[in-house]
Amino acid sequence: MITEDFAAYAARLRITFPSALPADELQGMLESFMSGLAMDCLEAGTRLIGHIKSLVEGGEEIIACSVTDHDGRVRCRGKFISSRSDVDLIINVLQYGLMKKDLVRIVAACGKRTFAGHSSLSIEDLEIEQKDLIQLG
Amino acid sequence: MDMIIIAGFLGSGKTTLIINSIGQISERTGKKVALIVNDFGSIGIDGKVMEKYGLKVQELPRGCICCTLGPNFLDTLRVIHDKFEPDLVMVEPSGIADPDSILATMEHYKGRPLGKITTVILLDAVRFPLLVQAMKIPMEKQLHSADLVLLTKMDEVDASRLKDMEAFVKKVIGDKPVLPVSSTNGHNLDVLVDRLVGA
Repeated sequence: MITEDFAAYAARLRITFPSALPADELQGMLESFMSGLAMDCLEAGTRLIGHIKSLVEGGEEIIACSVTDHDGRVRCRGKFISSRSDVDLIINVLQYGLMKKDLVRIVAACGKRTFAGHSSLSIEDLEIEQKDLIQLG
Repeated sequence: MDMIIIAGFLGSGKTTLIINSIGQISERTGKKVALIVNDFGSIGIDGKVMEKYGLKVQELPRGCICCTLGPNFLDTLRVIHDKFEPDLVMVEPSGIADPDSILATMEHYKGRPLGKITTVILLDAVRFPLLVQAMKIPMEKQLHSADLVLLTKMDEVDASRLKDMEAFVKKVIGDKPVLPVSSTNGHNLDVLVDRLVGA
């Protein structure tokens, strides 16, 4: 590894809405979540946002989003084209200067803030063998 | 089989560059290209994205091929070499990889002899000031191993930024080539392909 103060957290977020949401709304939520992760990492004192990546699984669309800049700008390859009542989202948060436990806390808080107000949200840690499911909302 | 290592910091644009240039390599040269992608996370997002764009990818997730996954990398390379016999293998290490360590790992390769190994280092033009501030020494370490340096996302910065970057890079790598590129608008990708595979 090129540096030592590096932390990574990979998780799968399963979000279920009470009814199907329009594609534009889903896209807005996804980008807001990704940007929120970056800003929360900065607020927590990250030295450098390495790369925050996400991939929406399932469906025909390719939706891969990424944040690297400290202004939280989200770049997406593809977008939602149809309404959905659930979203399966894989994220990978790669940071310099924070610890993994900080990343776990940030993802849970940002996920809850973005999605859980009107949905069911569970977060699965993909880095560990024995799974603990965090159920939010 | 030649090998091209596409390295660079997290978020420097490695995956996007490969997606946007690998087709051109195959089309213009007829070369059979294999792709090895190493993601630090347990789920290889980069590999999944590439597969969704129609590329055949061998993923090496859960670690870094410059250290913990070194033996897996060598095994994967040997299998690809023997089974698929590509003309070229492109390797995308994780953004935390030390390219010098990958080259050191290659000294333990037990497969059939490889052709030329080229190391390309990507440097993010948008985040360059931030990287110099936070990661100057690791960045210089990465650059030292470069045969070619790409200044990525050139469409998002002005000419003076590129000039500053080139001056910084030249201090580290001397006369080795430096090329600004944009995967978004395709600027200089044809030049890159020419330099990499002599199309």
